[in-house]
Amino acid sequence: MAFKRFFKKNGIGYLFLSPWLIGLVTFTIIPIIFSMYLSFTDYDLFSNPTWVGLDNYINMFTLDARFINSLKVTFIYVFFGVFFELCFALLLAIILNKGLFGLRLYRAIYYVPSLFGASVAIALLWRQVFGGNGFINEILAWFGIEGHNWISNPDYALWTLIILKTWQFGAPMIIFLAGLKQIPGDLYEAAMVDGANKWKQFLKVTIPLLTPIIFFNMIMQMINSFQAFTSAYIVSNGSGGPLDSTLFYTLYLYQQGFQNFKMGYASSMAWVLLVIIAFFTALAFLSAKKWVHYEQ
Amino acid sequence: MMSKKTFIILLIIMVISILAACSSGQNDESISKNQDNSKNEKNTVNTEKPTTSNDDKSSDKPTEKEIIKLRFSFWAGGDRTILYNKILDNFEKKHPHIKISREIADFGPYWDKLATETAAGNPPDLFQQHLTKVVEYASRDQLLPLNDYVEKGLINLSDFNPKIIDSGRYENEIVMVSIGNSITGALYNVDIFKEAGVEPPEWDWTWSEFEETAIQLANAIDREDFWGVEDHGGDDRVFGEYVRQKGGDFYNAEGKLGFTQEDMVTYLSMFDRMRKAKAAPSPEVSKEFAADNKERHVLPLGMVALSMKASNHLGAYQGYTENELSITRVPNQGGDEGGLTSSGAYMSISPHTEHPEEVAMLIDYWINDPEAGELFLLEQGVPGSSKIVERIKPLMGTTQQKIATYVNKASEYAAEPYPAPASSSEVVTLFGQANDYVAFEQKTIEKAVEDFFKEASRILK
Repeated sequence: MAFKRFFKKNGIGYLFLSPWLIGLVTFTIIPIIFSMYLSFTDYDLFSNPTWVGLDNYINMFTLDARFINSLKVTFIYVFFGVFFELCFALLLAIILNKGLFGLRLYRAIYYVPSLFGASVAIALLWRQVFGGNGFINEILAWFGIEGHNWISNPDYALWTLIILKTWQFGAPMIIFLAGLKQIPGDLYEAAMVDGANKWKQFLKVTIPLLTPIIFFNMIMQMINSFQAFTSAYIVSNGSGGPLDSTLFYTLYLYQQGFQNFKMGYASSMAWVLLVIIAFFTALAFLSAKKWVHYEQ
Repeated sequence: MMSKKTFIILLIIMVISILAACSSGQNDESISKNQDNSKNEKNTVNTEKPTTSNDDKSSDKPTEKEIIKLRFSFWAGGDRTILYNKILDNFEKKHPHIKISREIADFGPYWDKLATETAAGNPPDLFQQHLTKVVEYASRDQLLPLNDYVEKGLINLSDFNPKIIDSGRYENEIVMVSIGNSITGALYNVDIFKEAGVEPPEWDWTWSEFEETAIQLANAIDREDFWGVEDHGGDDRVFGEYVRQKGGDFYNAEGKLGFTQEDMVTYLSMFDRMRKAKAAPSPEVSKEFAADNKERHVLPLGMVALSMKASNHLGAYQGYTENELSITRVPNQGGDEGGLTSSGAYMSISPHTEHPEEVAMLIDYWINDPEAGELFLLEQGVPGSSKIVERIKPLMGTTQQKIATYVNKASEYAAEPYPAPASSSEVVTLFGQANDYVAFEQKTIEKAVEDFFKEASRILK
């Protein structure tokens, strides 16, 4: 009875939603469930999957050295990439908040890279720019510094990708700007009256009130970075870079699934990634209680 | 105003029409269902056609107006795309009821795409194959067996060298047809050799002479971005030839590694010495130019004077440099061993195609029709049909004549490698990395070889 009433009330709503709902189930939910099933199988894409239980998961952590390496590479990328990106974003947001002449122009210029930074075109460009005879080395040559071949040297390749990530600071910067504008001006005045200088004001007024935004940006960028693929694929030519130095987790997953025809293994990697991201997000939320101040 | 009922009915109609629009076009299937009786059978196809293969319209098509759509997937780019399109357009002119949609990709992504499409049960009707990948597909029944088509003359291989026909077999069934045959050789820059005052390599030169030549080149030419030869230390194919000359092979008959650790140590040491003498590029340079992009390869760019590749690469590279390039045999161990790798491009038919006869017609056109042969020339290597080779001899340019002469001379030195086992792509990656570890000075040669053997044995279990 209650069912009928529910439908009478909400039926039309669900009817409107149905195209999207059907899409969600067909293209998202069902593949996710199928991938969970595949993660316990050996599936080479052409023949039927054969059940292997937990073998994929166990082998991943015990026998696969490249897997452990991809974890290391990804963690380095996420940690440094997000950290530098947010630092730049906050720094630029503060500078732009001062109301410079041509503020709108600067905002747009800094925002643009984050629009297509993750694209294939930019990654190709990056490959050129940081190559042996690329733009960066030309500039370094003016100062008499002989540049390495950044993208094909295992010590530096990953850092070119981290720089690429940092370069896309525009989007979190805009969010920081919005957050900065929400801080009431009289708080700064009160602080000035109390004798705080600009730096102290920054530390005691700006940062605490920005913590919700910092938290938001941190989570979003972190989840995003764990899933990064295109830049590594293009810059390393699909190989994972010189000596696996740019072997992002997702890139290794792709190699296992589509080049080595081990789709079952790739599926289990996908689920492990989900757990990793969930774990770090949970960690972030737990820690948030300590340092995020929501205004009340 | 509309009543609630009418509104809901209109809404439902809208939703249903959206769903209908989103479903994939099933229209073509209904046309072709009237056609061939050999729809979705994976195995040998039963045909009732007469044995002549040159008829335009086959006898069991009810109407002649129905358009047959074929999908053809191949690796190409730049000039090659234009060439393929021309040949396909000519075929379409000859057979107006057949339309061929072309799916093009670079050699690397081509295989990713093919794998995905095959896994989805939606492969193209016709696609190109390669000796390095055929086992992956053939062993999983993804290539239509062609013995019947050949026997009935639908794909006429009577002018083909039996060795070339056999190279397209898997467990005795013909699964792919050669559209061009190459043999690996040492491609070198004649002009740079002259500039350096170094004698070009002899036909039966050895690996030690190879090393000497590289060092001589590097010493003679003082350019900053010039090294002697390409770094083949991580190239599993060149190494395969190296060990074949010694009586082994990269993989043995059981699908395990067919060489010893000493072999690999000697090989890597040779290239290590050359890199240290600047006779081979540093790993950073090699990596930067490693993509399968013929235009930006170290040989046509003049960064090295010698590179070991399949013979048909000579044509492509020559097109990208002003210097004269030529080709000779891969160095050997000092005896008369061959060990060269046959390669080339092949065509295969999907077992899921609905028009196998039409696809067979297209293959037959490609390899036997003079109109196609005169356009295609040596694009993927020397054509399999001796008649076509005779016919296009007067049309060949200098470079192509060099290639044809070389393939002719070198074919007695070519060997059939054991087919690569299932996990070979991982092993190939690891082999390349072993050389990288040595080149980037992160591992000693012995350690790199040891680690490689450990990992490869585990994978090849």
